[in-house]
Amino acid sequence: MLNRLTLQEAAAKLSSRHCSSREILQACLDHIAKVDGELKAFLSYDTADALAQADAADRLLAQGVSQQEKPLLGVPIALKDVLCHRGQPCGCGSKILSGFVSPYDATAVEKLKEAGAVIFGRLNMDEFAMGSSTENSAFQTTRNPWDTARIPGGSSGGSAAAVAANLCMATLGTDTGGSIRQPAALCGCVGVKPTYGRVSRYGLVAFASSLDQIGPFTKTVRDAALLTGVVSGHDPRDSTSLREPVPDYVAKLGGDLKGLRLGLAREFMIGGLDPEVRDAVQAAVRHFESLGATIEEVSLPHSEFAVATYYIIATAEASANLARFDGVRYGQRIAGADPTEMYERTRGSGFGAEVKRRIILGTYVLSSGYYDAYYLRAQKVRALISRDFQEAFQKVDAIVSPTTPTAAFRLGEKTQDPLQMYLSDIFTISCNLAGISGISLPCGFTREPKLPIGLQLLGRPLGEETLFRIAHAYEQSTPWHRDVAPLG
Amino acid sequence: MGIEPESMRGRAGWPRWARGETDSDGAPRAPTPFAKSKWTIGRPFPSLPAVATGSFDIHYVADLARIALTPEEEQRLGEQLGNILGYVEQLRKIDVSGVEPMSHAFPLTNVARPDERRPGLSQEEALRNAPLRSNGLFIVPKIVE
Repeated sequence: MLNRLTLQEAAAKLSSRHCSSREILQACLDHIAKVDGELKAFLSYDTADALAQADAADRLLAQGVSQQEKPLLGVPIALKDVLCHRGQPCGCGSKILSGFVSPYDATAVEKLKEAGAVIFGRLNMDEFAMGSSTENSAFQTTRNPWDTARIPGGSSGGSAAAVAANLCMATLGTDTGGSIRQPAALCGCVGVKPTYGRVSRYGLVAFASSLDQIGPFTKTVRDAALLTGVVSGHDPRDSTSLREPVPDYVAKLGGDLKGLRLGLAREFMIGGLDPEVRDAVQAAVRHFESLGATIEEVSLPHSEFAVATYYIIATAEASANLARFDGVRYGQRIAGADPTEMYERTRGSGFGAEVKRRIILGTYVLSSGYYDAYYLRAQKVRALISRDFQEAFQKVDAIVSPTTPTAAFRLGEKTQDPLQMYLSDIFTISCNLAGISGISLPCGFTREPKLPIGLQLLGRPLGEETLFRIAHAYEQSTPWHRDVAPLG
Repeated sequence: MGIEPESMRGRAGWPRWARGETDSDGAPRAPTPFAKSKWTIGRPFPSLPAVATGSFDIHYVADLARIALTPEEEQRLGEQLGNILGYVEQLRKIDVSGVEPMSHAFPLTNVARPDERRPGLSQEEALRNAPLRSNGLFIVPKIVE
């Protein structure tokens, strides 16, 4: 059962030579062969390339290269299909990019390589990261490893399902409005949305550039701290990446929560929150108190406008970013009599319904006569949402909330009504608009069927260290992360 | 032992709130006109307003976006987008007077790398994914008559 190891356990077994990187990878490949026909987390994987990487890692381990130098040496990690990995396909879950092979590595992938990881596999996602259930993939529908009649969340659904089903040690995903935290919550793993600019976006196919961040999915908070540290840092190839040192997040774990102030946003606990989710989060809040934290009520009055604000800003940015998919330099092309006809046919045939919907909405809110009414106003509301957090973080060190209003919903349940789908991200979206840090971790299960419930912690910009310490203290004193999914 | 302060504290150039400092000097605050506004996620979701805006011309906007739609798509997307635009109408309720628009989370401006030569993609690599190529060039339909 080597595929069930955490990053930390795998590193320990590898450095003590209790097993080889090849054996760990083989255990993952065996488990993929056994369950991924049903789960459908992977779009593709390159077995020969992965085995070659594992053998190279084993040679380094034999030479005595330590995990001090390469903290992920020999550990299999898989990527959301939106991150460039040189020589491997990158399709963003879209027909329009079918056949595309990355000519270079994303900075995050480069950093994984430097850390010694065995990088394999392309994980399913909503097309161009637009969606909350991974049902918008042009290729396949990923299932939830706890109940295959349900969605894994999205847009990084493949990344979450792969970790929860123990198909690999950890994965990377991206989070524009909750696309890491929401699927992590629904699949029962840990997911981190780092502060905007913490992780370079170079080599990430852009959806909404002022909101996108890369982050990890892991089985434990310690692993999340490790992987976040590996991929973080300034990158001259991303002008929005922050020139801030990266702390040793793992070394800072431990200690109790005395003196720590946690905020409970009153706006997040009202209304039609699923009762089991509400109870689990309230129990978590009491647990934080027992660990020494104090709880204060805070107010985020503009958070009720976050979904509307997001669907103007994100679609506006997407309409500009996705203009590059025109059939000229890469991807699918449908011929036309002139360039305009070629663009229109290529894009009409290559993009799925949700992507078309968002590009058209984004084009509209930026168009002459509507810019001020929609886009400019949304940018102002974004400032108000951000100021709500400013005020809250004057009182508290982190904000506690559910990650999602309900546990995983059924396949097909929300596909006919885009607005309902958008609202499943109601607790996660404001974090991206404000650019702050966030994490989701397991905090319980619904009774029947047994489905994971996620707890969200939101922190200050570059507050990851604090979030990891709080989340780690919670996780280590609760049992939730030890339960294994039926497909795990 | 409490949590240590974040690395940003005390960093000049960052917003005060991001450094975890308290705001005691009467710095400008956001107006909070809907401090008691209700959270509307519940009851369950389907009760959301579905206001059609009327002014939305799907054919025109899809043309601007260079996306060919079938008549069925125009019909379906047009309706859905009408609903979504109805939903975002709620932003009109907010008093945004005097609020500066926010396009980016942090105050980074004029970021430039040193103007130095560095390796790029080779011609072969740059053309590798081209749908149509010839003589080291991308082939496109005729643009000029």
